[in-house]
Amino acid sequence: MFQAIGTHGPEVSPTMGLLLDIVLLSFAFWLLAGPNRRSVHDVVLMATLVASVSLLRVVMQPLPNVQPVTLACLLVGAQLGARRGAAFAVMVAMLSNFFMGDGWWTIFQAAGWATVAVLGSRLSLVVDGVYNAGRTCVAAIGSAFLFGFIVSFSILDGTFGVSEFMIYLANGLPFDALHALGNLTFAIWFGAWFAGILTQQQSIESLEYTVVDSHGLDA
Amino acid sequence: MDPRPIIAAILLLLLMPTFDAGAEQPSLNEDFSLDWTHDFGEVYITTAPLFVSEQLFVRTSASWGGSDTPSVTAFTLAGEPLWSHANPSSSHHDMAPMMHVEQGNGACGAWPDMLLIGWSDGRIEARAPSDGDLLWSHQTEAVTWGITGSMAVDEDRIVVPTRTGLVALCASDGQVMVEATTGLGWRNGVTVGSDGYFLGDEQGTLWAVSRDGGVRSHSLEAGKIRHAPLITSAGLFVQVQKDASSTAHVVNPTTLTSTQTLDLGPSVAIPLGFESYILSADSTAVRLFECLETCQFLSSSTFRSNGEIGRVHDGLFMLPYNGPDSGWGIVNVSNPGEVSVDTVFTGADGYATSGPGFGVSNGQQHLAFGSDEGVVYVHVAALNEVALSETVEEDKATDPGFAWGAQGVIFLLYIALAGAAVQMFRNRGISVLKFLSLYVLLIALLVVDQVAVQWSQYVDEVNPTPTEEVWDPSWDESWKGTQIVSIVIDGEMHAIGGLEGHDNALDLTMAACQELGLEITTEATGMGTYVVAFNEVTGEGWEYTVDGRFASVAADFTVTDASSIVQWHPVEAR
Repeated sequence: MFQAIGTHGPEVSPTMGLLLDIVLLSFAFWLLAGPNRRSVHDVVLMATLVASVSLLRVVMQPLPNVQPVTLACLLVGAQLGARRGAAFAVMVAMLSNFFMGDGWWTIFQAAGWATVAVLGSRLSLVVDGVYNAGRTCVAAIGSAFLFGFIVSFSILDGTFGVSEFMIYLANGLPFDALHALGNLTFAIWFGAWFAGILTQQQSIESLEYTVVDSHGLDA
Repeated sequence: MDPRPIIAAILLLLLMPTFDAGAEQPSLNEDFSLDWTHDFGEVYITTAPLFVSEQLFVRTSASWGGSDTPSVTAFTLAGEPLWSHANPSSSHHDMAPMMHVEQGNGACGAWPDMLLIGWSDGRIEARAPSDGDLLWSHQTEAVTWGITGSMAVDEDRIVVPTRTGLVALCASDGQVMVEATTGLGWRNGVTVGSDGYFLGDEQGTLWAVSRDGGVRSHSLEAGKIRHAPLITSAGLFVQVQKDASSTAHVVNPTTLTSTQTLDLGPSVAIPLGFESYILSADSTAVRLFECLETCQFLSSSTFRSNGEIGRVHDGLFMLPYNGPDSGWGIVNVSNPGEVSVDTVFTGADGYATSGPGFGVSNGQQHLAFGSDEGVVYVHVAALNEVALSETVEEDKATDPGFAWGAQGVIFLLYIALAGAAVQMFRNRGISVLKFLSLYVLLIALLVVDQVAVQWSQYVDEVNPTPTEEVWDPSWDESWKGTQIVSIVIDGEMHAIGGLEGHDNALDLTMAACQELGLEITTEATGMGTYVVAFNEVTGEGWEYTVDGRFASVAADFTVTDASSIVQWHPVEAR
């Protein structure tokens, strides 16, 4: 199963890699699947978002830890809800890592960004269609460190003690700080614009309310 | 109160780093243009190219992981190779400067024009500059390596610092006139004084050898003397390199005792004396001293150079920045003793320790630069050139030394600040913030590598991880207290001990690889030099420990002491 222990954790065999991809894809599908019928527009928008954000991550690879995925997860979570936000995070992690290198760490990156998306859905970054720039900036900075912390768990392979893990975390702080600075820059430049694009999409929760409300009216 | 003037002042302050960055590149092309280059393959150029009359001589050293042979090659000034002599039995330490000796005669006979070459296998050769024919040679003892320091001429004698001491050879036929044993040396050039010869060793001992072979010595302090002592009116100027710093001693040449000490930074370069001044460099700065009755520190300028310093055109000095793609420093010493360093790009802008070659011939000035990439870059300028020609402008556009990345970032920094200024005068606070955030991000990207390295070193220092017992029972007991390296390749441990004099884990590992006959492949990054493979085995990467402690920075940033044990293993073996 595991071919080796690498600097990102266990190096997986091709079979295991395929299995992990299937699990991640199934998880994303489960998050997206629901009782509500999606319009073609919904599907196209989600696909476009995933492709474009993944592409940006790949293109910005030479810049260490400066990429738009974290902020995108935060705002997708805020605007489309936790489920679609987490699905978005998983798919972006999978697609971008297809080009940048797939492995054990993909699970942790997907988990990290999905957590950020869930966080975004709970922080009221957009309330009644009004984008809260200040709160988004704070969340963007915090989510960088949260993501870095979660991804760091990929290093644990049974040979790392607590103190070694803490040292590993400490060594990564400059790059987490750079990640936070990148997120902040993206939030300042593109946060409102990106949130505006997503405003047209109702969240699963609001869609459900709409359905319930409409049934109530019909009754 | 209108806050805009205050914000404008802040913006101007933020511009300061970019002014400085711009000022660091006065461009060598204002006077010189790249004339030709020559690629020697997988070798290093670790000593200055030498211009003699209408020829250029370049010597190369074997590279770690490379397969090409060390050689000395002669070129015309137009770049046509004239002759080349390779030494397949030489090694990775061919850094002894070549020396030209003009024809002459003395008590031991007459000699023609000669090019003197000291090899790391201990061989000294005198060759005819015109065709490379061997005139005479002499073999000295090699202990791991042979001759690595600078030679000197003493009337009819060629004085050579060997690995184990010193020999003075008759310039006419290479016969030994004086031979003396001193401490083991490395890059320890020799100086000819009125009463004999001076040289240092790897233990911090200064040696004096009289012309009849009498030997005296005095231990200055524990450390390494890796240059030819400089003669000043205050005494001998001798640098002793230690683990994390260095000290310059001013030494009484009669008693060999130190009369004065001056602080220097780590990994000192070979100092250069001119008039009453000494120019010294290390990993932190270029420093200027003046030596009259005593030596006084005058000024310094931040820089990182650990090899040779060379005198070039217009009374300037040049030295390579020893880092990735960082260019060369042009050092200007002003009359009141102020030293300033500007950075220029020459083509040979990667890791380098060799000084520049400089020569004047046929109304032209020539500059030659070599580096660890094994390519020599020769620039040329008219002797009194003041104007740039159109050709030079074309060269600028295609000059491989032009740092597009750095210039691009500086351009973006200006754009960001200009954008912030424009938006400020439009009273758009959010837009000002946008441009300032971009500015800060760009600055952060520029410095993150160095910040990460410094931070990791700090984390290492406060690391509470206890040092493990790392002694392996299969090792030779005589290795205890010396530098030891073990490398596990495909489950088999390759170990070597008894090493000495290596300041960092990378140097130590490279020396071990040579001893063990292992091939090492490295990759230079902004965060240091990483080992990619041993014997072409890459695995999932390589990790190392120093005295049992896991290292978190690149090997060239990990300082080693006299008894450090460096252990390499593939990450999959963890």
